Amino acid sequence: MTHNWATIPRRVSIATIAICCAILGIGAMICIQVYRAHEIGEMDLLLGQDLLIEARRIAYDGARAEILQSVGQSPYDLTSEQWFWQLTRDGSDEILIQSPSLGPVTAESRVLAVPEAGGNFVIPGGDVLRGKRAAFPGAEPDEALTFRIAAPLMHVTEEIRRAGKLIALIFFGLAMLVSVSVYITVNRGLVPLKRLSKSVKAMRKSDTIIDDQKWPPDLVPVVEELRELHWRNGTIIEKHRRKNAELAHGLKTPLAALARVAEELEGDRGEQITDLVGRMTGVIKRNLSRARTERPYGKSSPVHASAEDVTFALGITFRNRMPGIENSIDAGTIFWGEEADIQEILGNLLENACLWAKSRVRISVATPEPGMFTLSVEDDGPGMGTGKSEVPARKDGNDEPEGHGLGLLIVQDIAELYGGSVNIGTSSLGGARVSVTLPGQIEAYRKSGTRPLKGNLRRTN
Amino acid sequence: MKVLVAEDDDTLGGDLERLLRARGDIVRLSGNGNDVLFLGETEDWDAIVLDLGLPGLDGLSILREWRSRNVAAPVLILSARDSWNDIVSGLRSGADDYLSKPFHSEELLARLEALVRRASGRGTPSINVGDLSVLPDEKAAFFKGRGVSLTAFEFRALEHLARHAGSVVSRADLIEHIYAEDMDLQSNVIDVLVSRLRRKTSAGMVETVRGHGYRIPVDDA
Repeated sequence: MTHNWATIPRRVSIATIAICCAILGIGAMICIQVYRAHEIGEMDLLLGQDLLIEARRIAYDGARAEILQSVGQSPYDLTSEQWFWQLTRDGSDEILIQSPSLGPVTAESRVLAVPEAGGNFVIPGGDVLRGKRAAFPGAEPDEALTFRIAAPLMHVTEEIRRAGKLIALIFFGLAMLVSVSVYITVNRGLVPLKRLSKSVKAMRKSDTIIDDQKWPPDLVPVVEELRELHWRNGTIIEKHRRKNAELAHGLKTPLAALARVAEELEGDRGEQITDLVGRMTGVIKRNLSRARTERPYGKSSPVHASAEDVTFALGITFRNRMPGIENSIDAGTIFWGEEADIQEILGNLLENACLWAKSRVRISVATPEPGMFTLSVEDDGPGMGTGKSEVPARKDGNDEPEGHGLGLLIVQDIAELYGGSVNIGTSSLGGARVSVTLPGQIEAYRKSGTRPLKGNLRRTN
Repeated sequence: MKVLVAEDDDTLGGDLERLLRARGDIVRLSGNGNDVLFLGETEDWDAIVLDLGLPGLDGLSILREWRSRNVAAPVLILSARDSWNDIVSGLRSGADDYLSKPFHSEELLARLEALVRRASGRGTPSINVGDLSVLPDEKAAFFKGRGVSLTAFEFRALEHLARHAGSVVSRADLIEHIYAEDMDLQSNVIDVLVSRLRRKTSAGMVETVRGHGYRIPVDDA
């Protein structure tokens, strides 16, 4: 089963777009990470500078530490901000002085948990700060001091989030542009392939070959091979048909002579030979019918015209015994196959119907599914009866059925060759109804969506 | 009845020739397409039995050529090709009937007789002209209800004249329909034959149309 979305252009487009989107997504993430690293680095640099500036503002004499002067509006002076610094004495971790933003040093004051090598840490309340620390000599030779400085990470993360959104938006726009470009490029690039596909489809439905327009160099060998196959297929079928006709002539003419000899023989021997000739003729007819029927490419045959032809021929054969044939086949009914095959089907079915009909035979068509049509032949005769409601079972070897059964088997052979089927039932006319489903279409039905119109009621005498 | 049999198989062709001759027909057998075309165009035939697979020129081409040149002789196709496509092609090309091989002799003869009957516009197997009745199938003739004893040649002459009752039949035409090609004929053979027919029926049964031939008059009243 195939889906429309599974066409080559769509598959290629979807795959390429998916790969492009993945690459652009990864690119966007890398960009955001690089930007984040850059911002953190910038913050560390800022903290380093602040540390030196703020440290210089402190005067320490070994007993007391104080802030010498304030430099304008420093965030470290504002209690509303989370910009902090502390000067501690190593060993006892005694806080000697801290930034005004932390308030005066009390017994409850805690040393900032700035990591040894600097970095992020969490303060009570859950906020994340980024800090840095530096060692300074004390007033005494054996005294060592540590200056810790910290600032809220929130400002940087906010900046990174905003930049991330912008980067994602830019890359999303790029992805869209790439997707549209890829879709257009792939579809444009695969136009010759679509054209080839259409040509092959047209070749199957009508007796045309792939057109001679300019094909891309990489498709030329494929086109040439398809043309060669098409030609070879037609030639082989034609050759088989010719050989079969020759075989028919070669076998049946001596059989006719043999039948004449048998007629002149007296007694049972003549009858036996006549019987054998009849059986041999049945076998030849069935097998020749099978052999000459090859499913061809690119053939379409009007069903109505074939029915008219066969009715004309039957009119000559049956003459005064010809029942009235109601031909309801829509003029737009097309069989996707050989004219000889639809004539063989119609001939066998109509001949049987005319043989059994009291006065009426009806031919009609319907569309059971897209791409198929059902041809029905009905009569007002005695019907098939019990045991004849199915197509006679196939038999191998020489034991072939004759007459009615043989005609139906030939019809079944042809129908199966085209992927169709044969169904036998009872007609509303009272007799048999044989329906054959074959590939084709009813054009009027397909276009208008209405049932085919009734044809003429014809009676040939 | 003068019948052209176009059959390239010697055995079957000879057999058909014997079958038709046995019932008193004048038969010409030919197995070559070009010869058959020529014979059909140049001679007058009561019926033609035509095989389709002839060497030289195929049967369907011959038939189309005949019909395009207004050769009206009834044609029965006798062929091994028995597909409906072949049957339709044959009949659409101008054949009057189609019989596939192998066949029963009785069916072939019955169809041939029906063809000839339809071609002459008769609906019944007997040819009735005034007091004369000719039964081609039974090779019998009746005049005023009495059986007329005729030789084979006399019967063929009477049958041919009766088939064309009201029309003048030339001496050459009569000779063609009565005698085989290879027979050595005297110049007065037709006159003698017609005299015998008049004697066995009535003097006015066959009229002489001077300079043209003979005619069985049709009583319009």
